[in-house]
Amino acid sequence: METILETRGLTKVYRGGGTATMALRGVDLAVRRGEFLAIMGPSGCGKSTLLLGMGLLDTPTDGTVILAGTDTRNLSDGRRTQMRREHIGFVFQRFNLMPTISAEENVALVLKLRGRPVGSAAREMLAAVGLGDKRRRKPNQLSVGEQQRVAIARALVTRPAVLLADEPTGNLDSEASDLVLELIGRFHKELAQTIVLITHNEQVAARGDRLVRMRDGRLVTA
Amino acid sequence: MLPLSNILARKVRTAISVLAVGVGVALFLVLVGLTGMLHEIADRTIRVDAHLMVWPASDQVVVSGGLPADKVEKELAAIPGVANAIPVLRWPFKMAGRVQNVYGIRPADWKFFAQPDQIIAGRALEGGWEMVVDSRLAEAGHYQLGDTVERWGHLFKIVGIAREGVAGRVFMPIDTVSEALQQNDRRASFFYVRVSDPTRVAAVRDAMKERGLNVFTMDEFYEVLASSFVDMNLVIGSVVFVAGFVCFLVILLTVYTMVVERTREIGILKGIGASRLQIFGLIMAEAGLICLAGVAVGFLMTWGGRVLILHLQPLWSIEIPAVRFAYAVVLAALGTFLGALHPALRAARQDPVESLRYE
Repeated sequence: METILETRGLTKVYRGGGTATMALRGVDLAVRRGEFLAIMGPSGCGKSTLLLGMGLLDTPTDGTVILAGTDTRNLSDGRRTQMRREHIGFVFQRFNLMPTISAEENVALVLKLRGRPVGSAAREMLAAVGLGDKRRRKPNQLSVGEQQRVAIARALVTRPAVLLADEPTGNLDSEASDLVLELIGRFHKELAQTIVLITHNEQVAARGDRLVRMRDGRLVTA
Repeated sequence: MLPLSNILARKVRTAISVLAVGVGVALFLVLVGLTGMLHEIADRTIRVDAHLMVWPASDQVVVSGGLPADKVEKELAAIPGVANAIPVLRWPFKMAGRVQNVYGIRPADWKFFAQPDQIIAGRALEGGWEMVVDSRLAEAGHYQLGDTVERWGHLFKIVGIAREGVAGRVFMPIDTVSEALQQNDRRASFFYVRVSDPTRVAAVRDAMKERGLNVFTMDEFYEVLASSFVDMNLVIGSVVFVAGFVCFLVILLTVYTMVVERTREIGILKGIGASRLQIFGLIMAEAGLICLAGVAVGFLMTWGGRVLILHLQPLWSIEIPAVRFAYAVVLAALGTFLGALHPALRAARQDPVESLRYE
């Protein structure tokens, strides 16, 4: 199967206070189109840094990310934004919805940022995550599980090539977690959505087609 | 959608910012309107059927209270080309709560000061202890035809009301004013002079100057008055600058606070694909909305301020040309743009990863 996202020698060093911390140490990882990849590891092992690098939000110190066949190493900030906009959907542990606008407006926002017509797409996407009747509510009027479902709808409304999910159930109770994971699984199966999910929970990781583990900025199983 | 929601999410802060812009706009417009009052006085002063004005040198005013009317009139009449020399004895006189400059004129000279139809009630001056007031003063002081006003120990009867626009707000017979002031000889504060051939005004003026008279054409006199407004304009300009600067600082502080407070949201926007330009545009749009609301509030405050000032000072005039409203919009937009520029650029350049980690 075709590789949609690949990291080659991805390295990230954070410098500050006179010290250097290596968050990623030359990570090589390939994600195939339609695959559900789970990345597991303890806190501070570099999972989130890897995900932010794969999503072109963070710039690596060394190495590169190849997204949809394009080597992003020497791309300008504007071009990286454009690549991220076209190919990546993000789901964060803390939902990260815009607090001042409704659920529907949050979902529609990504379409607007891409200059696409909104039409009924946002409404349909919210209906698909079971929130059709709560689309006018603002994030603070929704439960945490519902907020994460809005975040999933927002990430997928543009049908990105890859969905990057950073601990999407980290802030949810078990019932809400099951609902969110079920949803992610459904999109993976029904739409062949490529998913990279980060977790430190074995049961969550077990939902993926493939599992890789990280420790101290390196992949230990691939 | 998003810019509006964002500024509405912080209602008090937004209201204060809108008010600050509004005060700046209103201050600018009201002050500009008040300068119009000075021009209105200058306009009225030269709205006389005459071509020249002869004024005493400043030392004559101090020493003798004006020009010796009979002597100067004879001197003027002897100059070739002079058709009429019209003496005016101007004297302060309190009416409607404010000091007015009474125009003491010869009743026969009224025709130089107003058209026949400009008397809207009563009649023109004839002589004795009487006065003609203009409609603005009559309205402000609630004066009616036939009312009497006591000043200098005499009762003056209002015999006529002239339509607003005549040179003075109060006219009295010049001899009456002289008598009331207990002057031994007839004095004149200044003269209006009509020239028989209007194409020879400059030549007549030069001839007067050769005789040592302090003479101006009407246009020159308007310029003299207008140049005396320069200092006033400087003061007003300074106030407008300070108002604009305060407006700029408030916008800067508001937008800067907005950006710092929403660091994480800016990170989210970048995470979901917003470009630097889009972030910049979002912040500028929020500032622009505050500016728009501020301009609207400023226009309302200007209207309210105008009504209040004219209520308190009915004889003042606040005329604001339409173009000044456009200047006010440009001023507010410029202040907003400059104030929002730095925070908007800062927001656009924010690192998305650091922004997402911001608590």
